[in-house]
Amino acid sequence: MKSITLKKLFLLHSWVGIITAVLLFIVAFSGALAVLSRPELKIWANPELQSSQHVASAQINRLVNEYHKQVPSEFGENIHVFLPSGHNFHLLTLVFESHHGDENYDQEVARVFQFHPNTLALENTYYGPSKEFYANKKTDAPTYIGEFHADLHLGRPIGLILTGFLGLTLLVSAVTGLFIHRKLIKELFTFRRNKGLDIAVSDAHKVIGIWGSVFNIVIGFTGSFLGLATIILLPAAAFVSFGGDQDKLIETFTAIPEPVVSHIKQPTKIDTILENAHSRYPEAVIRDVTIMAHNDANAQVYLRLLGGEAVASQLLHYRGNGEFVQSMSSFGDISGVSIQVIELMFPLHFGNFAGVFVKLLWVLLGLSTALLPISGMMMWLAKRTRGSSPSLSMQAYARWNRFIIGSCGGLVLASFVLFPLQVVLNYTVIGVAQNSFFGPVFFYTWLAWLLLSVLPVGYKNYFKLTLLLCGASLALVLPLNIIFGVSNVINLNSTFVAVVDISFMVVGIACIFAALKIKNTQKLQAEVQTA
Amino acid sequence: MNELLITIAMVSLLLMMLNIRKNTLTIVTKTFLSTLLFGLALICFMSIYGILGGAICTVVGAMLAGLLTAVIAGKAPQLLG
Repeated sequence: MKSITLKKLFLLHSWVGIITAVLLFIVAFSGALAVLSRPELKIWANPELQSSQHVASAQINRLVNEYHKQVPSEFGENIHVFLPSGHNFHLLTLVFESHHGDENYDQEVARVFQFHPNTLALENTYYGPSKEFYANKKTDAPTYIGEFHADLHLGRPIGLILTGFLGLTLLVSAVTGLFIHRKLIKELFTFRRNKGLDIAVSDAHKVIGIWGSVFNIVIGFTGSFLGLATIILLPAAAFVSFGGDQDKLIETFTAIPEPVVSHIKQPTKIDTILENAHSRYPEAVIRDVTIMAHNDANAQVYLRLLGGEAVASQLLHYRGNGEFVQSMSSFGDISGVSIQVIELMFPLHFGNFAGVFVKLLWVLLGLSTALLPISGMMMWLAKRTRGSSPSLSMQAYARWNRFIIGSCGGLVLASFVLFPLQVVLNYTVIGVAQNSFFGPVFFYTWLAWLLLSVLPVGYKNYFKLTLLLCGASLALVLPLNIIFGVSNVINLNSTFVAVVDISFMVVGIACIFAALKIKNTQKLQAEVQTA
Repeated sequence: MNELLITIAMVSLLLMMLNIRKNTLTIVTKTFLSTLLFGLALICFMSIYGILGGAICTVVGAMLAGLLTAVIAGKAPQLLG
């Protein structure tokens, strides 16, 4: 490749990285945490889910029939059963929906009954517009972080466009990075940690960039698709193929069509269907069940499955009498390579197609992706402080470093603080009322830490303190859970919770240990003067 | 069983990386050993996660193994001559 082209690519790589570095870190770090948010950390965060994530098929059948009798007939058109798997609600949720409203509402309306997954006691009921029910459902710390990753809590479409755009910049940076670092094979294992911070950071940037390149390209591409699909691609596709009619396009790609109600009574065998799905795909998790025309001869049942041997999520179609019809993608029974590629986008981005091991791979590589923009920015800044006529003074260099620590370290701290907060909230605040705490604690912690960067403190001390507080926040989870939690490492009510608590403690101690290894700025200056 | 297969697969990938890093082996030996170890990891992952899931896991696992080898072990000492 011509040197002038390489120079242009280098400039593009540098400026795209510098402009989006902090935002890219925010999205990548929150994404790495979000990988474990559902179901693992969601189960950890909700005592109801800790007790059980499985409800017997016969009990689900009984509850659906029992509560269907209690709601007006129009609410039997569409019944959703959200199982307590840690992917949706923290309770077993039955949603009886009327698409055409009722005597009180002109819009889609729902009657909802929520049950404790273990005791099956009725915990909560709701009657009102469907949209409001889904918008105001109970959240928790991991879900809050997961939603922050999706749209940065800026709302839709702005948040989605921004994260989609950041996916594109990650893609550009990863591809241009591969072109400009021509000694790829030679630098595969070059990491000189004892040759000073600048060289170690530069090597780390290259090594992470090379080894994580395929992952970064895939995450960048799928991320930009997920962010921009509904905002830009959907209207564009509707414009090209459906004369601008988006509803028509959605209708074409909707896997669950409205059934024709025969008004001939025939029991819908929900328990038989659930057992059949379990035996067909024993490794997969059933996330939710949709029952159309319940207890009618034309009843249709759809089950949404995740995991097992299928990488993409599946939709199983059954007739009400328990007869298996087909397994299809969540987009319906549409053939074609493009649909298969689109289907793969979701599991490739979330890493949720198999077990915890695959998710841990995604978390570790996601964290390495988060380090890329930071190391790149550190290289860019350090380069400008070197030479006989540096363009950046040491004071400005320190200011920039404090800004990076305040914005990026502040985000890490704000995220970690949510975990001990969750333990305390589980003890003190019941249900949906918890929702109002996560936003203020998260954003005020982040803002406070960012504002601290304005003060002329040594950036190494600032980094040390950030790391110490991050470690302390995580290490606090285990003792707090012993004091307040229903399940903890002492009573071992849930082994899963104990493992998560110990993991938090280990990561917390590692952060504290790393912080204590950092030399104070004053000590460093004294050592330099002595030398 | 799955845990054992995952361990075998990841150890194979780490050994493959150490083999690639080693500069006392010839290219032919390196290629042969790397193919063997990569194949073993692929078989292990495919038997757990299926063909497509296993292939994806092997590639991602190899990336992580390479990254860990680089960060922990660094570049192999250069031999003179």
